Amino acid sequence: MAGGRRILGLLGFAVLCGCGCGCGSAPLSSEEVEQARTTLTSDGAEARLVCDAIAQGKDAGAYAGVHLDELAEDARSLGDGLAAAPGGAQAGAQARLHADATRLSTVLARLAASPDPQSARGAAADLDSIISDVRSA
Amino acid sequence: VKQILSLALGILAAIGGFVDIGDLVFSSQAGAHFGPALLWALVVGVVGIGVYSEMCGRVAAASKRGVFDLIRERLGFGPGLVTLVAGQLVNLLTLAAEIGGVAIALSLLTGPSYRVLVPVAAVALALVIWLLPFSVTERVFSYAGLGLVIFVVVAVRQGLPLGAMAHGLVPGFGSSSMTLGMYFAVGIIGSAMMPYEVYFYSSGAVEEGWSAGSMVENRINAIAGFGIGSLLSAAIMIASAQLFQPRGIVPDFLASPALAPALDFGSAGLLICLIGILFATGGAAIETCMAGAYNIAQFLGWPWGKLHRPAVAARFSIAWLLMLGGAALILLLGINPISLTEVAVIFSVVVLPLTYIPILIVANDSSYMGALRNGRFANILGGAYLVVIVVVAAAALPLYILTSGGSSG
Repeated sequence: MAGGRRILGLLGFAVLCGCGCGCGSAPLSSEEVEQARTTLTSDGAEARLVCDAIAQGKDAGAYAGVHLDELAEDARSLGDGLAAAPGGAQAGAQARLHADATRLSTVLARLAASPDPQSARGAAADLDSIISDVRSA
Repeated sequence: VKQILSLALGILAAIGGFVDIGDLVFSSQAGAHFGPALLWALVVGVVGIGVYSEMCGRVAAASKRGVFDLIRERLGFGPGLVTLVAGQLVNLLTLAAEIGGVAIALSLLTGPSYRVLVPVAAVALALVIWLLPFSVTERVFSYAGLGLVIFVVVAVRQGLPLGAMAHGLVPGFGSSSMTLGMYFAVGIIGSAMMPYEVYFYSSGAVEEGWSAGSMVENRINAIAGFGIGSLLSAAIMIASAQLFQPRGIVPDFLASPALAPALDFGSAGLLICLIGILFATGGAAIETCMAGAYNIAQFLGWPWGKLHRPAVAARFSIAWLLMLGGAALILLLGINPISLTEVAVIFSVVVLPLTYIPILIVANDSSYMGALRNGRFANILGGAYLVVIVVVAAAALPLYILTSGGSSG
């Protein structure tokens, strides 16, 4: 999605800055923080499904490694955006979500490097914990 | 028997060739957000592409000339040029998105980053277009694209939500955000009615030498081919609803929809799905690339067509090579293919009137059409769809901005 916003920025729709993608300088609104929470929860839950597929031997080709890398990159860039935006009324939640995004991207990047069933089972527990933290952040 | 077999193979090819990256992205995301509540938008889009493809087939059969040749002659150079430029820009964005889809599918199958595989995908597509006869290319890509039928099997195995599907055929947005629902409805309609589809269909009809006697084939292709093909998009939407909606997952990646067949059928299901995605996006890339070259060659009066040797239609061949190269360059700038898909579909919707209004005008012109001129039924449907097209075209960009490209409602 960040790519789409960048294109809009190129087209002159600067009104969308401050959206959490790291492109703006305005403090995040509560809706934007909520959007970041939704995206992180989605990334974590999707990664959890990939873990299940790996643990059950349902991976093929390079699928799991590549997809986990994508999810890790998404969490990392979201975390960067949260860190870059100045703290406003949502500063506390913003900081907690940034920490969760960093943890999520670390867990996913590690699993992407060796997507075997044993690592997947270990990562699944970490992911459950992170998803729970994101929801309550 | 031979004719029936040929017809059945043609319908299979149409089914396998229906889905492109726009359908994959918008159908899976719409399913995750809204369940089957936006099935109606798919029906609107598919009937629309059927109506206008049938019209294009008749125009090709009656005039033996490509759409842009007629647009320039009928509307004049200025309006024709505006239509050409708008159509080509959208074709280029769409082609870049499709090549991105090919590169991502290759990446998921083999491991290297899709960015590394973009030039590989572009060169492979160029070799396929250059070396293979179009009849072979069309069948190979369409039949391999049938791998996406696995979404139908997954959706059925998970238990079709028949009640929700029936509700989904009635225009509405379920319980979710109306603005976001409108954005996805516009995206689904746009994905089904991408301009390259009619340009390609019409040019193919001219190349195959359609005549008044080809109208049965034209109607079967336009109605059965697109109609049955759309079942794949519906299945992707429903499989996505079954897997992602209860978990609050928004499938923002091309890899995401493949999770459903993987979890249901294991490695074999995943491989079939990825190969289906590879060939569906590859086939669409070839069609988009050719459509771009057809358009410019027809507008400028160059010899065109896959039936000509490259030496005879050199400028046409250079045109599609430049399209491929330009699209690959767009991706190499680092733009994410999924974001690019969303932009391509939304801008396609914006220029839909420029694609479809000239077709309706030409199809009503007796001097071109003779006995194949639009009848009352075709005009009622065509006119109704023109209203739909203008409304979605006007709404597309504001909805894209309001929802930040579908990421918030």
